[in-house]
Amino acid sequence: MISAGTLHALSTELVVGMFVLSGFCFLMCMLGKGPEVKESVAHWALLGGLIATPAAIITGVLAAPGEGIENPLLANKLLLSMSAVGLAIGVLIRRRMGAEVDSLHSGLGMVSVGMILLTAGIGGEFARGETLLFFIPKETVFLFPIWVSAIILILGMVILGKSAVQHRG
Amino acid sequence: MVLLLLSSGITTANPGGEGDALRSMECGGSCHGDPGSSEISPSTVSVIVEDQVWAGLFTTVSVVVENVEPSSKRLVGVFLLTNENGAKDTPAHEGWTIVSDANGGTNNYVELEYPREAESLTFTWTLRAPSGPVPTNLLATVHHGSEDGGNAFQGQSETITIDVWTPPENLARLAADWEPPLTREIGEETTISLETEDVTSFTAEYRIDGGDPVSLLVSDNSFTLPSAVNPGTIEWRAHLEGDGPDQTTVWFRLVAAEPAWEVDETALFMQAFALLFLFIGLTIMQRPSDEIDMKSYDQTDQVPAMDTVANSMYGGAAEIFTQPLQSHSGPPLPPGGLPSGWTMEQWQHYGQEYLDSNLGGGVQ
Repeated sequence: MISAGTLHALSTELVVGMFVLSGFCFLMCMLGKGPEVKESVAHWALLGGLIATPAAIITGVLAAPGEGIENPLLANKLLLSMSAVGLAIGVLIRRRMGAEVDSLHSGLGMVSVGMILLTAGIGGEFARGETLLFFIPKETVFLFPIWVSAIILILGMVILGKSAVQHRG
Repeated sequence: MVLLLLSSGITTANPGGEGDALRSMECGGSCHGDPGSSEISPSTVSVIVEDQVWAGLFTTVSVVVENVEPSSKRLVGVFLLTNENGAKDTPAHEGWTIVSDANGGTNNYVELEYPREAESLTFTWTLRAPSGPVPTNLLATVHHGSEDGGNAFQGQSETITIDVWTPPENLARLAADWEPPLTREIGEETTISLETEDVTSFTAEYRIDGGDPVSLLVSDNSFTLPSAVNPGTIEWRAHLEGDGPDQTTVWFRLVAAEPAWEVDETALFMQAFALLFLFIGLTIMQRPSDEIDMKSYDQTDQVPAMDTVANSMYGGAAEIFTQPLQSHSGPPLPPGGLPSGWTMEQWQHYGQEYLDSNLGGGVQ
């Protein structure tokens, strides 16, 4: 048997490695340096990181002590990782829709990568009590009322649907 | 990122600790066993046990750590072990049950913060002895970092042997299946009901921070401990009296902690999914505009109208092609154009004759 903690370390390294590779390639795209393949690598690595992310989330939940979310760090980790995943999915869809890998596109990809790295930093603070990111909120969670979240959720879906329809048109 | 890396000291220790857990020394050895990255702790570690330990009953084991120079986070971790083999060395492997540890858990590895002005730090475990009178070895190891953040440090106590005795048959005692409460929240009183065997009456008392004991009122085999104002530990014990030998229990520890952080998980997950969809939507909304699309496929500069070389028939833009066509007087040109050898001036004057003689009067 392998403990959930060990599997979490493995899957997390997979996610972070993929996202870092992607972020580096997006940086090269933004700077206009490096070989042409950097665009493909940036997006495929982003996709790889996204595929590995659910494994990291599930093993992380299983490895966390206690039942449920009993620490502000875990709550911030959840919110940040879901935002990063949303951004990364958006970047991939945007590319699929024919967007050029310009500064805006590369910037969005890098923000997504940065958010994932921030999430990993929170994990370090939670598991080991230390992180390079000394500024991360340790006791504060920006939690919206449910009705605000519902509005944002509907808004997001409407924007998503509208964009899809426009693309088909 | 480089700035962050440079601003952080590098250490082989883990100043944030590993957290309390049930671990064999294999764990501590894997982290602190490498002589290249760890050193012998200058601290003194001693294990203190009760004079008389009855089989199947509670006893207290204390580990006192002195002269520690821990890291800036002041964390010190201690293992309570039964041998030096590095595996199968927890008290449970020898039939002992950890009833409570120094933090109110049931672990053999515990981390505590070493107070700055303190000369020593005591880790206390309440254990239930094995059911049989089997002697057991006990030892403790200490693990900590250092002020300068260098290597990890590991120290070890001497191994002591505990003799476990069979209790007298009618010894006044707590019931074999009774378990003491370990933790509570700040601000709440705790009522404890004792389940006993061979006990006719008992008294109870408590103390705080090792101070003088305070008697408690016992009613219906129960007593109530006062509420805690701050996080900390309150200790209590009972004097059991019966027909046989009396017994004073060990000091049981009750840890008061801040209420656990709580969050409305429905709202949290709702917000997480809302952010997921919002970010997907916002990113896609930044999709390439029609103008950019047009630029990608704009071949206006390649149409004939922009071609300065192309024939005027296709809209050549050069000056030669944009001159207005000169009209001519005279009959219309035949389908094949000006007859061979003719000039336009000749055609104006004699063209009609040519048409009459060759094409029957003109063109259709």
